[in-house]
Amino acid sequence: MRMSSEKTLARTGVYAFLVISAAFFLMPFYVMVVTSLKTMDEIRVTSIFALPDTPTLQAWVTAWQSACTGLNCNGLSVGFFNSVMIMVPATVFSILLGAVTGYALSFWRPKGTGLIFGILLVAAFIPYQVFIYPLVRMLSQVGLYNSLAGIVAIHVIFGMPIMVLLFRNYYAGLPRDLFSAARVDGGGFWVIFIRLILPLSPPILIVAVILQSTHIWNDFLFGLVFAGSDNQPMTVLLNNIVNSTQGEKAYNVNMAATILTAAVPLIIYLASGRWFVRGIAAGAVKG
Amino acid sequence: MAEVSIENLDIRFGAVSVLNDLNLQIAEGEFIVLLGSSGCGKSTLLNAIAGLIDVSGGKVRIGGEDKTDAEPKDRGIGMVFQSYALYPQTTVEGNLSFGLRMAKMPKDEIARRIDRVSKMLQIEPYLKRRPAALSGGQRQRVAIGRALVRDADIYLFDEPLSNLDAKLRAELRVELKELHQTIGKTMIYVTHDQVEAMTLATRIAVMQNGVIQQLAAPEDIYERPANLFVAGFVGSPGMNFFSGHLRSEAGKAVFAINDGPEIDVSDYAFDAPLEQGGEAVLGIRPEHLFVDAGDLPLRLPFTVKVSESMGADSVLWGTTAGQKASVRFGSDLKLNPPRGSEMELGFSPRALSLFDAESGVRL
Amino acid sequence: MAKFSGTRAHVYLAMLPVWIIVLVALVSSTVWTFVISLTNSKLLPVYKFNFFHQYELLLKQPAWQVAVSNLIVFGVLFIAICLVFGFVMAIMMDQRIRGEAFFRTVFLYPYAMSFVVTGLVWQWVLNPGFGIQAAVRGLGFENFTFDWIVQPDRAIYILVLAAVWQGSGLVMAILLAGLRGVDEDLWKATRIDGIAKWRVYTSIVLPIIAPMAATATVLLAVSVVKAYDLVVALTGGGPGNATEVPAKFVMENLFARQNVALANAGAIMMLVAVIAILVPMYYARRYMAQKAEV
Repeated sequence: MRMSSEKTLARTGVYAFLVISAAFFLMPFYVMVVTSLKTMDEIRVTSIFALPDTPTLQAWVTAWQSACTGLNCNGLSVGFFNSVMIMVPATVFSILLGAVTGYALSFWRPKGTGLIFGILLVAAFIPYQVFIYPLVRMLSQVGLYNSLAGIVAIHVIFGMPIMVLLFRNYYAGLPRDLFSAARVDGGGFWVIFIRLILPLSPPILIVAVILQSTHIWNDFLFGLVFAGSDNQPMTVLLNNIVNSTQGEKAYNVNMAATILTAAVPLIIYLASGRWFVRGIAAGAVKG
Repeated sequence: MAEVSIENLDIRFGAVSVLNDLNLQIAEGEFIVLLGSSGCGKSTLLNAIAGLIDVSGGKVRIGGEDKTDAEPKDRGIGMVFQSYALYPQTTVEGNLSFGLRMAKMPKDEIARRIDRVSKMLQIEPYLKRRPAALSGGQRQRVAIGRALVRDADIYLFDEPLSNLDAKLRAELRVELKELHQTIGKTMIYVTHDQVEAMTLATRIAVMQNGVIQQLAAPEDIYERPANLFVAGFVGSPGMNFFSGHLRSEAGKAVFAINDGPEIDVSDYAFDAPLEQGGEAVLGIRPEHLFVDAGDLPLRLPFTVKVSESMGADSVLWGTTAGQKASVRFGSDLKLNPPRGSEMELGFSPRALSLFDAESGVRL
Repeated sequence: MAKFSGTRAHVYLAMLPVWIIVLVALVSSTVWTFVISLTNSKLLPVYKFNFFHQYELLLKQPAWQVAVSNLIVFGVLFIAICLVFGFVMAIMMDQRIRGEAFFRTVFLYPYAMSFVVTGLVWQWVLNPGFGIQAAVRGLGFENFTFDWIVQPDRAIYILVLAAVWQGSGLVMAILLAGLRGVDEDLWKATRIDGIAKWRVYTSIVLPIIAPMAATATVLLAVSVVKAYDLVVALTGGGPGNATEVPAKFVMENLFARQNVALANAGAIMMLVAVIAILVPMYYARRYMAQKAEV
């Protein structure tokens, strides 16, 4: 079958649009990569779009080991490990909390379900600035301000609304008869959760892990305020390195540092593929 | 031991009252069907008996004991659900044994029960399979098996056949009836399907708007519906209703169809002696109207519109005195009258139902 | 009451952490912030009430006024461009194209990256001395100028550019999911009726996916009010105060300037803004839902 010329034109237009858009999205990443592979001398004389003459990983090594923020020259690696230390427990705890609460809300419907649901729905949207000062004071009171436990707690607190809503919506989609059958069979709250509901949860658990781990890794505000200088996450350290006003700017090191910071969420994104989109769709349900 | 008694049951969801002051006594060994369309409260009632929803007022007694606030597992019940509700991540055997393991029953006893039930339901070949690998009919057999292994006193069924295709539904219906005859336990069964209700029940409770409209044996429900709702709900095609006026005249009861003929209904078995007349509805089932009037005492005019043949039976659709009517007869009559044909139908006073036009109650 | 036995107790036990978080961390924090905003607190909270004095100060303060007007310009442009660009991308993606997975991955990857990374990348790409401007000049266009990032009256558009780059893929993904949910038979019916494709998209499909578009809009709007990291990383609020935003104003008064009451007044204003976005949205949804029922 031959396509009419009008149709061919339309197809060409579609692809032209898509390719140009893709170029727009990819360009910064490309620039970031080529810059990180150049020496500063080369950066001064070549276009940012030019491929490196003799690619070198020196900037990456520097960014990782010895990039400076002020007088500290320990590189980004410190921030990487801090971010891991924050991300892992915060992701695990917020998901556990979200799963158990979502399960309780959708199947057991305890008193106050409607109220808590409404509060969480609103809380998911409130600007964090509203909570920051009181929480700084509260955490100082209990000695958790500027500590690893403190920043983890903050992530659990603010991840809670979206996690609960995520799990509640997923569980609301499971057949209620299944839960009823388990109750008739004599399962209690925890038995039904662990033996029946959790084994049905991998899809939403995957979505939750993707959502929370990228969220927590990408966080800047909480890390800045609550983590303290010993636990600074990678994003905060990166911003300090790049936007530090001391000394000559090493753009190649800056870009290498930026890629390194983006690497973890990017890898999660690329590895998860369609799951990431599902995460967005699931996250969007809160709207 | 296993009679169920519902006393003054109230169930509200927020401001919405679903069941209001409902009473129902079920004797041991009965097969009660709760029949009604969706939203009538039948599933709510079943869930309240199971302990799966909170009761706002009233009592649920099982075997004479107050179980209103008891956990579902402590009520001596087994339950089968419309969506089967099989635990998807475990095998058929795991599904059957789940509740027994919960109750910490010895392993050999569990094995014995599973063996007995799987033989009874012919699900032995699938014991090691997962529910996803089973057909709909097999799944529902497993779901029934899961209820049976509990060796409960009472079995609850929530539309168990509704997700199956017509042929399987008929097969499983027969099996359920056989099962009831074999084990003789009390069964409470929710459905919107009148055929299931008519074939399975020892007594049917027809429900509407949270109220039991009639509780009686299937034949009574069919032949002597207590009100217009029950009369219209049960039977297919539905009962013919003719509006008219009922009067008592010289020791005779006469029903005058609006703009139509007068019918002598003196031989009708009135619930209470007719004192004064009034607006009324005459009901008669399509199969109780006869094309070949023979020596039947009562007659109705009929104008044909459409004729439908359904294999064994045929139905004529048309009007009587301007009101909709249908007639059902055996296809062997080889009758296919053209549109607009006029005919006279015969019927017997014993096949009639008369209802008060305003209250809908049987007269 | 017998109902509060065994199993029920476990349910309430499981709900305990969430109730504590909600009551302590969320509700009482909000109240506390509001209370402080009514005082004269500087570094530490002092409970001498001055009622809406801080709000008066705040609204009179040029820095806040600039921050708010910047946010409005940024927000309107960002949301409008994201929606249009995202919708067009979604439609193009819906044309049974080859390489859909590739394009989806490319359009959405910026959303996986942090605002800090986004800001720093674009800061470099737009660097007047080394970035796009220098590269184009290097091609022989000596007079080419694209230095908006250092132009006080243009820098806000750079913020929009970076934010669109980061967020429009999200809109695409949400709307594409909506398009995929449109009944195939509807498309067949419009083809039988001979309705032009663009007409179908604007007159029939758009209303169907309106709830998704609304969801996307709310998500974008809320991210606008929260905008902080991107500004810090991309422009630091500059040049001058050309890209200052309320969230940054609040943070600075909270920590650098130690003007706690004023900062909290700003935070409450941000909360009011979010409520102003959410409440009409909520009622619009209820109204639509009711209309759908009739």
